[in-house]
Amino acid sequence: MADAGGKYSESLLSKIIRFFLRDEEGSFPVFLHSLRLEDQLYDLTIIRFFVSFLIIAGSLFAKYILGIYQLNHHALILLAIILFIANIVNFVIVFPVRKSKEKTTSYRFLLSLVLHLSIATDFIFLVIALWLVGGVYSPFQTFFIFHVIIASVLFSPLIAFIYTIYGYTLFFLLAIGSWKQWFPTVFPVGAVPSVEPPSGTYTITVVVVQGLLFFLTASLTTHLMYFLREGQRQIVRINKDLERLCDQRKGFLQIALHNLRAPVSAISMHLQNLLYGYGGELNDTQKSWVQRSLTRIDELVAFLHDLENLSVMENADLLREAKEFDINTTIEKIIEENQDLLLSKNHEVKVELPERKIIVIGIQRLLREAIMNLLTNAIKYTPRNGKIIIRLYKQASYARVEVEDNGIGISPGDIPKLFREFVRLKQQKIEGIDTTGSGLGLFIVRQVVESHGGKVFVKSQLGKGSIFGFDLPVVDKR
Amino acid sequence: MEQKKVILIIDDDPDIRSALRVMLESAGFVVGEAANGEEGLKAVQRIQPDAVIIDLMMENVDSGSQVAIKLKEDKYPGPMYMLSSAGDAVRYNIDARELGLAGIFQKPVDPKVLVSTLKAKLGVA
Repeated sequence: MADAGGKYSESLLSKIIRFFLRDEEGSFPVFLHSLRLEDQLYDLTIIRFFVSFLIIAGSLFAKYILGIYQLNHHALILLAIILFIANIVNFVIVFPVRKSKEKTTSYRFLLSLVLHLSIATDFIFLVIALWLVGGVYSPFQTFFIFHVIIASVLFSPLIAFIYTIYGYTLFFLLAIGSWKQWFPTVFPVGAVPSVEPPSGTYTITVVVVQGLLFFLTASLTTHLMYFLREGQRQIVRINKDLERLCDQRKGFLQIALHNLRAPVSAISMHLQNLLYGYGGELNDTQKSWVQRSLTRIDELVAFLHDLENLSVMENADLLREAKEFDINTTIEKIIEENQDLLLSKNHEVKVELPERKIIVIGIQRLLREAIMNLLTNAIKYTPRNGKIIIRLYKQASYARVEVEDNGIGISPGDIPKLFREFVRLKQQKIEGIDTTGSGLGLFIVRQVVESHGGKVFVKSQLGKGSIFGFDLPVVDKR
Repeated sequence: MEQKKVILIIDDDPDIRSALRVMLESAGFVVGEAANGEEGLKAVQRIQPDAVIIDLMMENVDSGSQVAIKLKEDKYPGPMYMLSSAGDAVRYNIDARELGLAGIFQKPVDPKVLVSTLKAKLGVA
């Protein structure tokens, strides 16, 4: 498989295999045996159309390519036309059913009947074709094995063995009939080693060898199919179990987060009231203890916030929820709604937006959270009275969002570690800088941006400041 | 003497209400409380607060938004603030403009930020 967005050329053979395996992007490939009944019949119909053409082409060109003379062209072409017409009937029955969403029991019965009739008549067509190209002398008799395999793949072991016995009986009658001269024999020159009727010894040898081959093939294929079906059943069961466990985990996380958030907020707010002296003045030791408790609670709040974001991201259905929106207004709203946060450290905050609205597609609340994360980081890692610029502009087919600060910056060695899960950089204690956090914030930004087809970036200089941002594909409104 | 401004807190968590009450009363506000949206709407009629603080998630998911919409429809004249817990903003698409909100406070609320924002909005010295 190629990487997302990558292009590769696919060979015809690979395309054919993918067609028969129903191997589509993101779906579980399935072989003929586990297809829906209508799809099995459809595939078989397509194969039979090919076979009709091959019989006609073979009978017309055998003389030139293989040096076979005295082929009964008329009979072979007639046989191919009958197969073709029978196949059209199959196609007319199966094609509308494949497209229709409602499949009634009577339709399923009809499809099943048509499938069995097709397999049964295929053996008859094969015996006639084999008779026309040299009977027991012809190398084409190995095609019987192909039909035995098809029957073993499509049906249960019992039905597959019934078809094997049926096919073998037809072959047996052809072989014995040729030997006993029950019907005229056809031996095209060049296709068979002899134009004389087969001897008894030869016929019995062929019948015994083919019999062994028929039943060994049926036995081996039905066993393999049994293990394949059993394996698939187990995979489906395990998948269902995994899905259930995954849902349980998500549900548990939701409940845990919900039950943790409220008490943590209440504890934090009461501790702040205590620290501010609303319940009476505290001495320095008491203040220090309360402050330490608050710091730890704030870490917990930040961690819960990030966990919540991750859980939301996990449940977000981008394909269903994504809508077009202008990112200018999103940034304006973030600034409007978070004045308290922006002013909390007396930073000078500048917003640079283009006049023309830039439209992107995605889940607005997730992208808003990504911008908020960058903004919160800039505020957090910039000493009081700093300068923060939020910038939006269009660059080629991308919308670029940047949050620039003149904060503490990041050392070049630490830059590659950013945007990874649970990454906490070792930083010196700096007055006015709270370096607590979950280590998930920038990871969430990356997840959100990349799920929207964008890319994150960072430029930073230790002690001078940083620019964190991302590019998102724009919807071209021209 | 200037009359004290009245703030109504609508939140189903008694500990949050009590913490907010302490913060606001210490800053000189008069505080009213309601434990759910229905009670809150009645309290607005009764005490006519100068500002309302509504918790987003109360007895029902998103019920705080419903209270804000109802107050906006009833032409409530004062500023309305929403209280939201960590992650609410990312889970629910709260549009402050559409709901007619003056702002959103994240829980846990910082007393300094809460008081300075309300004082600035209500013109309290």
